[in-house]
Amino acid sequence: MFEENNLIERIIQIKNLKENCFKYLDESSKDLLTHKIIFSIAKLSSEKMGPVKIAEISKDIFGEDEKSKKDLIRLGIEKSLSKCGMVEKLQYATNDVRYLLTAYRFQRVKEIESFRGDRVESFNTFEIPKSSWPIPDEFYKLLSKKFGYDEALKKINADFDHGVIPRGEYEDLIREYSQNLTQIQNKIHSKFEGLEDLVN
Amino acid sequence: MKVAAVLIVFSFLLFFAYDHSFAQTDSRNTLQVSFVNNTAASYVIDLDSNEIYTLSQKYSWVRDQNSRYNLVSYSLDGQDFSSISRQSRGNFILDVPTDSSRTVVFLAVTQYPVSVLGVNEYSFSPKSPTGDNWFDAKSEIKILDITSNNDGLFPYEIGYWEGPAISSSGNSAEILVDGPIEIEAIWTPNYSPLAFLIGLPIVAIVVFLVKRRHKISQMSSPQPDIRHGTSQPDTQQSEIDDYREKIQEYLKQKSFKKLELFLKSKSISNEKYLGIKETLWEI
Repeated sequence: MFEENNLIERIIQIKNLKENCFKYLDESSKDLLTHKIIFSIAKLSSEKMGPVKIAEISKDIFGEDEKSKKDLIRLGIEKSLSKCGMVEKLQYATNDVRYLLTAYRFQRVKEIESFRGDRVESFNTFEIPKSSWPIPDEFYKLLSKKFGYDEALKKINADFDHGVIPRGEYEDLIREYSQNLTQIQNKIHSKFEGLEDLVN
Repeated sequence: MKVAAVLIVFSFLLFFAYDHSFAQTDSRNTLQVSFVNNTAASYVIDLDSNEIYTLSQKYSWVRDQNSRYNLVSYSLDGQDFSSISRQSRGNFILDVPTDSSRTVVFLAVTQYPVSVLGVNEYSFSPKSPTGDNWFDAKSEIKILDITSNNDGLFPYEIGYWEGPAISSSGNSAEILVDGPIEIEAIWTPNYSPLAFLIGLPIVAIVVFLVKRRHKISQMSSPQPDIRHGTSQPDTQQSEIDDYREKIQEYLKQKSFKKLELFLKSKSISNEKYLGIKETLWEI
């Protein structure tokens, strides 16, 4: 029920993180609770296509949602991940709080002193696995169909060049398939702008 | 002495009055009503703890000149959202227990009206969730079972649509509801029955002449010509139909191939892949 546009905006943007925050994403931190929380929120919110509750995260990580476990997760989010701007807290009501990642691609910004005394920035990016991005099935359907129509149009042209089909039929097919392809492209453009380049 | 007695009585009265108001404030429960994405203003109601409170919320309310909000679900005290039977008018009633403070969160969606002009009868698929031709924002709907309002000698068929149709085929159209929609069917007369009536005698004469000629040529030549046994236009049409089927199959194969690539590159999970594959070319 969460707005699709809001989720897509989160996927498209890249969030800058300082080194002390970027470390939560490192492979070396994979056994830490904060690392597990990030990946759990990503996975669950991609399944639900919306923000997730502490209890859901707790069940995913610990297999149970006892208060002590939920408190640990809440602490990890509020003391570390929210402060770094990686997780957003959405207050639906006084006792209904849910969480969502602010982005799915993060960039480490590091300042290094050069030998001349200048300050330069070096970048290193991290991407949450695409299978955990909250992208609706419809988007992948449209991309698959788009590829299918592209290939089919190439084949129709080649077949016409080889005299396999008469001109009238060729023109009808090209018109019909091109029209369908345009409709698909328009839909991708209007509903999922900016996403195609990231996924393809 | 009298003054002291008066003072004592006054102090008692003051104490009881204070204590009573304190107790009243302490025991008063509240109902906090809010709306996801602030589709309406939140408010708080004091609850009388001896009764069940009946919360009444309009099913629809104005968003702007061209759209409205419509109730979809609600959550009581942070529990999962429960669906509300969709209605366009009237009020949704919810009995709220008053034994403690409560919160109710309503979820409403934006809806736009869809008008179809230039037609006699039509239907939507899926139907309007509120049954009044208003549809949820971003929904995709089909206009089906369209009949013409043109009376005359010739049947009419839809030439094209004026309005934001994203696709159309025969007497149907598909639209994406991203704002108030007004779409009009533009009809054109179909002369093919007349052409058929005129063409039939001509075809009969031609067939007669061809057969006659064929008979004469057969009589003059003892060798039978096997090519005369097949009808050339029929063969050509069947070849075209075969080709259409082949290219349709090719299109599907390539689409499935692309979907497989998403799976192999781990862009989608296996579960998601299977779900999409099953419905990719579903009508």
